[in-house]
Amino acid sequence: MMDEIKLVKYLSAELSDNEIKEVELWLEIPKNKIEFERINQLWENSSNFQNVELFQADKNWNNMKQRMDSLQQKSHKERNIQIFRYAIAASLIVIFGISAFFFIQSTKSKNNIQFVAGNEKQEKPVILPDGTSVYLNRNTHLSYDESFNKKSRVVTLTGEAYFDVAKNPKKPFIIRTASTEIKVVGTSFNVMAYANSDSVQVLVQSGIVEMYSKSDKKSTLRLTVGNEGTYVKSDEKLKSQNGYDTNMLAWKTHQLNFDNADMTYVVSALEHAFGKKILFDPIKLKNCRLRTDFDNKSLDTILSVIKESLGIKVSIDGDVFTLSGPGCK
Amino acid sequence: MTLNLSDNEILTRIKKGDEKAFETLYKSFFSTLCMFSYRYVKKTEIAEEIVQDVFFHIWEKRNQFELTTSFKSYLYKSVHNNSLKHLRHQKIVLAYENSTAFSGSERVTGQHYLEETEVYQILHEVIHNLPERTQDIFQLNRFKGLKYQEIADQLQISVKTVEAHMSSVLKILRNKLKDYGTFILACILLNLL
Repeated sequence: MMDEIKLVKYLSAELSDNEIKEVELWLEIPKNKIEFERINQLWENSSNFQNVELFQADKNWNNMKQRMDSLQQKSHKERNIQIFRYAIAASLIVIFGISAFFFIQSTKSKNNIQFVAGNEKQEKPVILPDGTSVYLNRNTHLSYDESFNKKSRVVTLTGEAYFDVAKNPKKPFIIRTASTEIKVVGTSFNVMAYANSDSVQVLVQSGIVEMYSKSDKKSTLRLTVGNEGTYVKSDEKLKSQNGYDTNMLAWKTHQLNFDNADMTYVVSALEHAFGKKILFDPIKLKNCRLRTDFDNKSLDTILSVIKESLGIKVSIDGDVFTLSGPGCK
Repeated sequence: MTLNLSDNEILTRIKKGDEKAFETLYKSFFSTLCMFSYRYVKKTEIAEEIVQDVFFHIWEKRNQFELTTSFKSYLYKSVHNNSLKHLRHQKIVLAYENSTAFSGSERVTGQHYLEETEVYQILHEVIHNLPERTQDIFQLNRFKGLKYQEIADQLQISVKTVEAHMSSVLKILRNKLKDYGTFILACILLNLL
């Protein structure tokens, strides 16, 4: 029986030529070949399991629960009529309550000003009262309250935004995320603070930025031009590095540069820049390298360039792109 | 994960109208069943709809509902059938059945291939039950396409450790295959009787 270490390395293309011959010799025996074909079938299909993240049971459950509840209502029709009367009364009270709430809110409005970018990112920046411009990426929420620009300039961010902060040394500009605060005087930089990500990332294009965690405001990370600062939520650590990947800003700059990049990198850069899901077989396409610059090109155009230059097949199903093909030499 | 014994337990509780038990069943199968359906229907919303309908049917008919096999095979078979029904409705099933991509048709020529539902059932069970570390390593290799050395660097462990984790996955798959092998054989024998 072929040992698992060798066999799995064979499947993962990790073996030397000599070892490959050894496995192929083992495969010449029909019984082994049958077992191998089944294992290989499972192994090949296992990469499909990354699609799993497309489907979220928790989200869907609410919808299912509604269907179940409506079913229950049907089955108790008679009792329902009575319940229905109560429901109307209750909802009238709720509606009244909600409108009262909004009425009160609107009388003391301008308390909290919010900007939300949904599925589409905003091409035009949001201009704050101090003259700072903020570009919001997709699924991003930015807010500030009426004290903004009085003593200091505080905004709250979830998601990703590029800030071009108006210079004002007297009023520091502070960005609050769930876990960190970022303090600046006047500079431009990108903040990535998605709720579902384990890290908050800051890329500095000009000026100086200070970053610290909310739990420990004393240890500050000072970032200058070209620096990247990261806060990892799970181990509560701040770290900085020199230089950053300019493709991370492509959602705003519309510039993508690939210099001999592999498909794993290309796909992750495109996913981030365009907010779309792209699936591919990393094993088959592992030798494909892309060396091209894209300036202000749509995802369709970029994918057709990849298709032409690397012989990769591109298919689209709704909002999901799939790259496939025999791979590159 | 879902032994026949606990399947029975879950069924009894669902029959009593226990929503928590139903929710557990739903959540442990939903994503992989959707993915399985997506392989056929190629639309995320339709895959979700098909899977939800299968579950809804169980809940709606819970008083009359009987399990002859396990929830796992019932769910996969139903999603499989309903996905094909959807395609047939779209009149593209013929093209699909003729395409070589359909591993079910390969079974006719080569008996040793597994049916697609079996493939997904096995993978579902194996991947979901891997220890966390093994799962991370497996995903980096299979989903992100990283080489052993790259995984070792990223996780700051030795290549030998990566090897050990990866081979443990194969070992589990191999054992599962053996179970399935005898199961399939038993079914064939029963049919003959």
